[in-house]
Amino acid sequence: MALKVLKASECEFDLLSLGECMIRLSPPGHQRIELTPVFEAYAGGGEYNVSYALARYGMRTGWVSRLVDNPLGHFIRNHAQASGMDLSEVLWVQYDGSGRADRIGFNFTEVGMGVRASVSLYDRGHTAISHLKPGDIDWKRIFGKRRVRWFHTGGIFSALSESCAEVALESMKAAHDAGTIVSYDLNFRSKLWSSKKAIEVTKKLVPYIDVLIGNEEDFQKVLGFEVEGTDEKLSELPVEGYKKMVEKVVKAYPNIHAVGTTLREVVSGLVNNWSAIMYYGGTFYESRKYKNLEIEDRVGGGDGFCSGFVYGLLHDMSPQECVELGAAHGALLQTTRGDTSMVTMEETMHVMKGGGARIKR
Amino acid sequence: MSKALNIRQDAKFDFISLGALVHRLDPGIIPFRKATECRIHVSGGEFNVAANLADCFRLKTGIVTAMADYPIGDLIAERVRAMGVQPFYRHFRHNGVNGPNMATVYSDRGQGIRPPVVFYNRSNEAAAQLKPGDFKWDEIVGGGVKWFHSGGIFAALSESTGEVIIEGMKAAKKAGAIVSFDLNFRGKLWNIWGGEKKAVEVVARIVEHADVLVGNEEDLQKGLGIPGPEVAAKSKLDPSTFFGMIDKVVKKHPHVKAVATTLREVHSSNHHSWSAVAWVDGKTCAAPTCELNVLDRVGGGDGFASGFFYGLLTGEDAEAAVRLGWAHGALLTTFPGDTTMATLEQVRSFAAGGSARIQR
Repeated sequence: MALKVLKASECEFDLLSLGECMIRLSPPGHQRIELTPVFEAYAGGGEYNVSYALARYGMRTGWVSRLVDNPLGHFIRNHAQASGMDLSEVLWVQYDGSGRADRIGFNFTEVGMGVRASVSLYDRGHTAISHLKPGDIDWKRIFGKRRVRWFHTGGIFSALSESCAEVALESMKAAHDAGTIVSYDLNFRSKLWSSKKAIEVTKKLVPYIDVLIGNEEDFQKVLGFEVEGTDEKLSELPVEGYKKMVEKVVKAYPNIHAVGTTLREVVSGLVNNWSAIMYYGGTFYESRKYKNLEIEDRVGGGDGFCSGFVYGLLHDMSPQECVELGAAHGALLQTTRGDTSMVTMEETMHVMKGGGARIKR
Repeated sequence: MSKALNIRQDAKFDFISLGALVHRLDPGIIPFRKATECRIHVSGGEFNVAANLADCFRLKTGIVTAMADYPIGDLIAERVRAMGVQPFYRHFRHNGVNGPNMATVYSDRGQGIRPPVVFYNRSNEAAAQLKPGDFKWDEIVGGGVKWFHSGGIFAALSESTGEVIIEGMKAAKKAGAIVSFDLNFRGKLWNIWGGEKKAVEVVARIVEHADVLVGNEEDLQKGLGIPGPEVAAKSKLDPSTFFGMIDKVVKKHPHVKAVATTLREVHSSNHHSWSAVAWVDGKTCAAPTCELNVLDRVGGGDGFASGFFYGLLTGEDAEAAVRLGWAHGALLTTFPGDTTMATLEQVRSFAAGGSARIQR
């Protein structure tokens, strides 16, 4: 059974996402956070990255969030605008001069190498978006009047605060009622909430999800489904065990049409094995396997997969093409610094079809 | 507010500009002959005004221009979006070898006694190939536009670009827009095809459709063919020289309702005295003079024009409009690159006589 996506001509947006975008500060190269004299600034956030990538591919995307009206909020606005995404539903809050009331969140990300893992350090308390409450955004108008083909949010947003979890539910319900496809990236973040709380919140959301994205750890920690045969470090992934788990998930929640997952094995900081697998309408589709993929920065790879695979689904590609496109886009995204996509659709298509890295001239 | 400029209140766009997008390579204070690296700025005299009005002044603006589909075009398009300017592109397919190209402007910053040096590679420039009929003006200005702008750089690119300006101005005027033109005389550009005589002829035909002119003394002389002052000015900052020339401009083009310019005395690459004056519907006004520590002078004139237009667009009186332009142009020289990084609060505070005391 295929996904029933609203017609493009009836909708103002191809995709709308809801979530936080943070300013990311990274030491150049592989320097340590505590010793670097210089930080490079990027912008990113799990849900935001999907709107960003798809806008760059010429799709009509928008992003809903809450930003502080000061130069830090404007930094994110400028980054967002450069992709071409629509920001008309962003709520702006006045800056109180000190950030006691509402802040822009930061994360400090150190890009690891060799045996040293990447480190992500949050400084994201009291953010403007974490204070978003039900009723702040007129979802009925957005989904009913402006109309949206695809709505995307995820577990990072839901973990920000109690009220964000309520807004996730409110927005997903409204999207679902308006016939918008709802996708949700489980994205478990242990620093933001416990597994117990995540399961409690997410169970209420699942009935409204059409397309679910998550890795094996996410299913365990956010939905409470175990994959048989994984070890503690998740170093080698038993694909068969994973498939059985997904079958259990869709049996428990028959509203879920598709499930996308990236499979990452960390060989070393900058060398990962990478592939993706997708469940769609009762069948599993596996992507090409990128063995010993040399990466520059892993952050955003999963969102890169998600945006590629949503692009495929919105363009009536076959399930096999969708999973290949997602995996290729996620792989390419990890060749640049920063969380957001800098690759072109032409490059993605080239890699997806097995093209090599021979210089083009 | 001056009654001379009748600005429509309901419009989809506050401001639409027509002109070429370029990328500027900036090696900082190192001259190109010794440079090993440079920054890439996205610019264009006409575009800069739209970008400043969108980013700093938060107006709804657009740019009508050529876009070559290759990575340099992509880079430029991304920065256009980042500034919040809505593009209307006529696309050109790049053949992978020699164009059509987005123009390259080589421009260092100079230092002290060494002036900045500017030269171009505008060979096979996409924007120079623009011609009447390339744009659907009805659609572009159809939702309403309050102000339409173009300039002498775009007019100088080729035989056809001046005609595109006239076409755009006519359409904008029909849609109720105020029309402005920044004379921005660039001798190097005119010399490769028309020369100064052609410049005067083309610009005169364009100015027939303009309500507001921006240009310095040299622009008025070379762009409009107005004779220079009979008596040598005491100083570059003496507004009377400029006001003397205005009378001649208005006599030649009686429909023009406002003329404005920056007054700049360059003591060194890093130290300018800076002022601005305007004539609006018969009344003259001048901004104060301030001393500028200049980081990057490029874009200062466009910075003035955008602040001045913002003032007139939002109903400020002529005096306040000149001060806003003067303040924004001054702030622009403190940023690298050609477009604004200032905020409206900073501009207002400087225009009101604020200082550079740290704000905390």
